[in-house]
Amino acid sequence: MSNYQPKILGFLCNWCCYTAADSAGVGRYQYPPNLRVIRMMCSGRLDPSFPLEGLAQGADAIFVGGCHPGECHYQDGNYHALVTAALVHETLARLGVNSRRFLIEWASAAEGPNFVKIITGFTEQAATLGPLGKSEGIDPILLREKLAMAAATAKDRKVRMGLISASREMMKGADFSRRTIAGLVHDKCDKVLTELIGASVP
Amino acid sequence: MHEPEAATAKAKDLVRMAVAKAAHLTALPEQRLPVTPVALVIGGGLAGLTAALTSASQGFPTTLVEQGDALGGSALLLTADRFGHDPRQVVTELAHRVKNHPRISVRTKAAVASVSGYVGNFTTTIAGKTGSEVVNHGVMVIATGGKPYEPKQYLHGESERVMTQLELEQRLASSRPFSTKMKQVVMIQCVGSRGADLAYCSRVCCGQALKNALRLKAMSPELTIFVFYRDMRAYGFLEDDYLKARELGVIFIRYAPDNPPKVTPGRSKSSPLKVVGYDPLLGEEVELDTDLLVLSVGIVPEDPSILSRMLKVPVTADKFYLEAHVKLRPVDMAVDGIYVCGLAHAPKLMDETIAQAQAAAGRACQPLARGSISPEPIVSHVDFELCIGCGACETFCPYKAITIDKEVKPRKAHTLTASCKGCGVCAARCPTMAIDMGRFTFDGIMAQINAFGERV
Repeated sequence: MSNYQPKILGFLCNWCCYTAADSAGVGRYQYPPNLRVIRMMCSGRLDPSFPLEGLAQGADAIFVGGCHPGECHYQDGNYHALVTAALVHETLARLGVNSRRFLIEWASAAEGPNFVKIITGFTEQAATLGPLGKSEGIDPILLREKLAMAAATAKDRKVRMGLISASREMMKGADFSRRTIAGLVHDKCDKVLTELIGASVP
Repeated sequence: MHEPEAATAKAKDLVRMAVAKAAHLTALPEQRLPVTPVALVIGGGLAGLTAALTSASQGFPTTLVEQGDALGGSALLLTADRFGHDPRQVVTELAHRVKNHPRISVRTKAAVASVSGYVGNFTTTIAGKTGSEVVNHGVMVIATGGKPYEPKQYLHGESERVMTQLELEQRLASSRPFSTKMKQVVMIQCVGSRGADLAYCSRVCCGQALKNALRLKAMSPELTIFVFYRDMRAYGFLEDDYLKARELGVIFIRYAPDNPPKVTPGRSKSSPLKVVGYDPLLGEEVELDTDLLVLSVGIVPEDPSILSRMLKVPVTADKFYLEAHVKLRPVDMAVDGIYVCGLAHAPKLMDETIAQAQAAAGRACQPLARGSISPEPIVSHVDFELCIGCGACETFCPYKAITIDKEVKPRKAHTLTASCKGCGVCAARCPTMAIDMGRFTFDGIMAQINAFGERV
């Protein structure tokens, strides 16, 4: 167990995870104070550049929280969030960033205790990984520069076109497993990401 | 908690991030949408009847949907309150008033089949005996109620000598409740509750046990009554019942959750049951022969899964509807225009149900009385300069709230503000970043992220 206090930035959807965090507070549940929260109406709002920019700006880890699959307040925003998350993981892999620094999870509005469990576990994990760059063995300043460039790359039209077709195929196939979605995003975005960021670090 | 320095640091970060976002806020055009001044109440028990009568009395037409064939709900299972009044009579009168109210239409043997819309403009399909019916309404009150937990413990269902407090209530109201030979009664509290099948305390069972013990004592004062309890929740004026029961000689024995009393059948069907429990005051086991074993069981909610999904409102792990905020918005649901009361929300006494139903109806009448609502202006907007008319937004919008105008060349996306709920999936998928969300702008969120990084 590391004593490092990681800086964690969270993007929480208004209806489930944000409310869960609120009810955890009302219920006086104890959890690590490391998380800083940005509220969004839906995890589907998550732009791929947000988590990358978060890491570039000094976060050691990024959390995205939405409603449970099938329970999205806007029907399927959380599935689109999974597509975005898959792109973030693809990008992190190419920069050599430990994929465990980025987590997308679900907690319903009633699940204050579950939210606490997720954040407690994720904070411990981030503490073990240490400051960004440490577990990666990469100079943090250099890494953050690369992450800032990657955040800008996420605004690239070709990258986003890849996400659109991944999202389309996900909806068509109606298979919302993380593995399938990661496969779709890899298929659609591999070429452009390799061109703009580089190939995946093995 | 108890980490003041870390908590202050967190608060400072959050404030700095909020201020950074606030710098990017712009005035958003507010819309005014008319409200259909009609209320829909789901559930025809004490809570639903009270809520319907409250909203109708304020002048709003109200439709009440009840899945059973009669109104009244669980209150009809009780035969006396702690003052000796018969709630069945009161509830029957209430149901009569509701049925004959000029502004209330009652649909029995009916269920909500589908719901669409938002506060002020809901459209609900009610599937009833004679086909389905569409109701337009501005608000709705959930009062779907609860039911008694069915115990399988303590020989319930196997021995005629074992019954729940509700079954005892029915017996007490009958013409000849018990044989004169009955000498000893044992009650066990918290059966199935507080960590067993039900994780929670049902709040009412202690009061009900006290009430029924007093009723039994009034009927035959020489009866010996033992109550095995974990904690007596005799709050408010129920304390008087507790004191009175003790004065009349009812014996309360506390038991620990890991050492509940044990019940074994008597030698024959006609012989009394044997109850063995540890008495912490005596410091030893007591063995009681009992003619009647009464189990205090909790309340479980009616299954909310279908309705809660339809309405997109949260329920707790115990399947009760979850209010928007325990203290600040106790009868609102997280979704605007939907309110909750009665056992659907949590176990509670009848007076508490009535008060909460009036509160829920009172809250529900607010948008109806106002006559119009202004939805959150957090809708999407399109920068025509950047839009390439690809139509991805149209594909992914769950509400058909953003469309490509095919008549006008070049093709551009347009937001239908009345339909847009502001989720932002269109903005996250727009290939040219042409779409932004009101109040949750790209630049605003980026400013929050930057402010997060600026911490000292």
